[in-house]
Amino acid sequence: MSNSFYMGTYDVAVIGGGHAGCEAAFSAARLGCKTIMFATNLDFIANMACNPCIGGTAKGQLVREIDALGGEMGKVADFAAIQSRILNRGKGPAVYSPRAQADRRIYTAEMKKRIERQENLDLKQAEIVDIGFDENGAVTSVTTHLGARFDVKAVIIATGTFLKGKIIVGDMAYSGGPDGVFPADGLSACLAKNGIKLMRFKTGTPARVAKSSVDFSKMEIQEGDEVITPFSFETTNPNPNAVCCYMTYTNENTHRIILDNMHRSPLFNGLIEGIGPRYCPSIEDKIRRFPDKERHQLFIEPLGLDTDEMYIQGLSTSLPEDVQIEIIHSIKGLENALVTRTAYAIEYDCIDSTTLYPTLEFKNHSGLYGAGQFNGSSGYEEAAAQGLMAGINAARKIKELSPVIIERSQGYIGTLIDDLTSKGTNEPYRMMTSRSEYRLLLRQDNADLRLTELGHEIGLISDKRYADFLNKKELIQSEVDRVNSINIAPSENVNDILMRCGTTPITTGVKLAELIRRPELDYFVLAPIDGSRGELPRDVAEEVNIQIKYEGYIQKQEIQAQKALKTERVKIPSDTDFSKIDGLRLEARQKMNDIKPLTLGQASRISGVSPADIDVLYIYLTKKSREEKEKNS
Amino acid sequence: MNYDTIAAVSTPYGRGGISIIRISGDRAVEIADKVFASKSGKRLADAQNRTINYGHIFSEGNMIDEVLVSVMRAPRTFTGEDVVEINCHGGLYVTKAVLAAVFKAGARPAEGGEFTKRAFLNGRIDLTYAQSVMDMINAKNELQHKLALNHLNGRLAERIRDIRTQITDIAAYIQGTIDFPEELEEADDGKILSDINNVTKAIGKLIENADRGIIAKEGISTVIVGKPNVGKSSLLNLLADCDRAIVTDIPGTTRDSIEEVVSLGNLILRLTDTAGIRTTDDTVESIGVQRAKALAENAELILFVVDISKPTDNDDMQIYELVKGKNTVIIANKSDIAEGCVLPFEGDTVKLCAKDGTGLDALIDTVEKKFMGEADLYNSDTVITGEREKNALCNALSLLQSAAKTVEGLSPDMAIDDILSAAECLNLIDGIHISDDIINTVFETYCVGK
Repeated sequence: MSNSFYMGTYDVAVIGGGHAGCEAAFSAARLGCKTIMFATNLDFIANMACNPCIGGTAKGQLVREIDALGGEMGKVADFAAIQSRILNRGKGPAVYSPRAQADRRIYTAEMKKRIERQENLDLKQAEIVDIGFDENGAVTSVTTHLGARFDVKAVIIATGTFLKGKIIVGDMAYSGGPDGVFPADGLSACLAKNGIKLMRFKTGTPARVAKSSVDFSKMEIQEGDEVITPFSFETTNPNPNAVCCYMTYTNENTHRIILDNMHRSPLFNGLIEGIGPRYCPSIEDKIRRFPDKERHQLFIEPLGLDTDEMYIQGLSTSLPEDVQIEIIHSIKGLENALVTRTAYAIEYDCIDSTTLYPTLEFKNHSGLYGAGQFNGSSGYEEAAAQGLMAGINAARKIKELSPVIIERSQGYIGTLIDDLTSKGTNEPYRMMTSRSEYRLLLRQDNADLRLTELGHEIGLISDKRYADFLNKKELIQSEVDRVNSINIAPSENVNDILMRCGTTPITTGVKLAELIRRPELDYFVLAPIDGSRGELPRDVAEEVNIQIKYEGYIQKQEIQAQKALKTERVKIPSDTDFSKIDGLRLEARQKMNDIKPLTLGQASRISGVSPADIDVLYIYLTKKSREEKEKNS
Repeated sequence: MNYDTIAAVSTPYGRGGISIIRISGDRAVEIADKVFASKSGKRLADAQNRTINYGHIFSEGNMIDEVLVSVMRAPRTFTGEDVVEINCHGGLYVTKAVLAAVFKAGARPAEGGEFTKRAFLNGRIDLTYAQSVMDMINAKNELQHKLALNHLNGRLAERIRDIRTQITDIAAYIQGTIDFPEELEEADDGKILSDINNVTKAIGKLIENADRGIIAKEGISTVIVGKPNVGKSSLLNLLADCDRAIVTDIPGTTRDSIEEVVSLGNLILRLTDTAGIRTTDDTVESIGVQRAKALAENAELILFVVDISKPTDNDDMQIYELVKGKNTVIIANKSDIAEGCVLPFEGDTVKLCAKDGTGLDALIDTVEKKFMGEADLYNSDTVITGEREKNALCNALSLLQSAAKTVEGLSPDMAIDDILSAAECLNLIDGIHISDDIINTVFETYCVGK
């Protein structure tokens, strides 16, 4: 940039102050890197531009994992929570998923405050329009729209939906970012110029309505849990539930209005080019694809405590505003609703995530990282998880430490990043439990058991918290051992309780663990016949129950995970030229050269690579390493 | 890499007096111990390295064969892993029965060349072999593809696809309710159980037909028993004569052949121990009750020949005692001389004149009914004819059964792993992968999303 000027030097620059940017900035700064975070508007730090809630299926697990690794999202979500629920309570523990409605303003304010107080971390309102690279493609600097240049060692791009953001409502379209803020139009050209291929993705958000104009008496009420499970393992006093959500439905009339106006949808008039997510379909899409469904469920969620605005989950649309109003007024309870914000679709630039290593660093640009929607994902939690990992890996690279890559069997974070970087995505990627082959291992309850150790090793978990964690772990283990060793003798009292629970009485001594595993029973209902049981914290007791009750199922997956780790641990040298490996099919050679897998496990997940290709690659690697050994000896 | 334990017959099928079944992998000894009982009562796990152990192979409590088992522990073995080799008797039936028992105990059928591949990966084969191993795997890949294409005719492939779709639909149904609990109603256990039941029925049918298919393809191991001079060799000659074209003596053993392949109607019979009949039937030497006993143990079909022109005697009765209740067809021979005579034996009985072939059609009919039931295999193209495929189906079946148990006892979400694994078993048959199928199905079938 011709009229730029030097304004300072940092280790890490984070572009974007959303959910990914914040976690990236925290982790880089906390790991000792002098960090600066840029946002186009500092009043929108960690803004929830869509639904006012954190967590949900698989996403709740992500937040717990972020927390176990020392991230911020869980703590801030607990701070801002106004209603909390565990989804899937009626199912197995592997799929319990915490979710909380959050007060948007409190969330934003709290996150900003924490950033401002973070040592090593500066915050600046500016749009980055240029990234400087050296002759090898490594990053050297970032420059703002006003020409201020900062020299840096690493850059994390977390631009969300801002890059060349385009808002579409019906037949209207204009350049814009989410929630009425400016888009970031400058950076795309710089990225393209430096060989980074950009794609267009699309997402959308429903209308908001004024609470005072809604008739809740016509809706079903949805309350929070009585006992609240917070996101953060550090939160001891979670906020009580302060609000309710409500449920209502679309009807025949709604569907008729939509069908009558389908021709005005931008999906048909060509205004939308970007690819939208299937799990976030617009209402017109749902009606077109499922014409037989008589009604679609809608949730009305408050945006916060001090606001009258409410979010209509399930009513995403890009139909024109006048049609939107007609649709909303056709719904029970919303007949007189005042629409405060109109629903819109937003299109934005993002990258092909397979151009990243599993560290989230660009393969062709040393020191350049991507996180969040910029990488083709969707969702606050997915963004935060990537931000955290990008921040950790940028900092470790600067400190010349080995990268941290979470295994698929270690966390949803690992699954998310591996999916993005090995398989890529052709729609905004959302985390779902079905994406994990290790669902039973990746539970929300044991996120700390899986990852606190690693978080401490990385340096994001304090010694104090780590000591508390070890203590909890010990409590769990000794209780599991105790339960496994206890025998229950048949007696009138025992059989009374068993029969009351609807299970068959015992005639000989039975292991307590065996009884817990009976479908009708669990650790808790057997307390009266377990005389030697001591007082235990609730989370410890729950963990013991799950570990004992589902032992067989968990073990099965653990064996699979161990097996998979064997291929995950076979490293592929970064200079491997796959096109020269005899026996690999042509398609596999091309795919592997594109993805540049770091391990045999990663290679096996590339689409178009067959098990036989993996055999060939493995033999090639074995041969090569043996040849090298022979050369050296 | 895949350090699971594999097994295969490492000698050619159906030739020679001995077959060797090789098991390789971490669990080789453990798996062998599940099927083997040594004479000394010692477990293979406790046996010394590089020893040969004498004993018997059992499957579900039934003795299959008398064997010698060698135990070779890693790393100094052919594959570099623990290796157990079972030396069993060489008949097709026995070999297969032993192998099936080993699979049941936890081994996976080895892929072509897999022992060699492991040998290389574990550093047991020289570097120069690496390329040939790669070539082999590559060829295997091509071959399997071709085989899959050739073997799976349209309707069978369609059937497998159909079953897989049914399975993935169940998984997607459960999966949808997990990932979108607010939009979809709780999974209905009753619906899941009945869906699983439908699939297991369909798989069960394929397995049932697979047994027949394999029999149709590979033949029925058959023995002819009976006391001397009742017409066993005439029967043998009759069977051998009725279609010269496909009578094939096992090469190299013409006169002492231990197995002769003949056709009977649409079926193939593998007649074992025919040498014994040819050499002894016309002499005074008796086949002996002991010998009949050993033969009857291992055969899939026993043709028990009785001369009805003479009264039944004690020798006939003794042999009858051995073969009754087994898959036996009683052949009332010399029916030309003694018509209308009633035998004191229970079981399928065919009146035959082995010399001129009268009654052969009835024999064909009886045997076909016995092995094929009412199934019309010859006009049906949805028949599995390979052990590998059958094995995959059996695994899928047992996984689905275990899934049903989990749905009943715990909750459907806990059963998804087993359901998906069942679908993956089918991939072994037609090589199709399902990884993203579930998510796609959820979105196609259910209206979910905010």
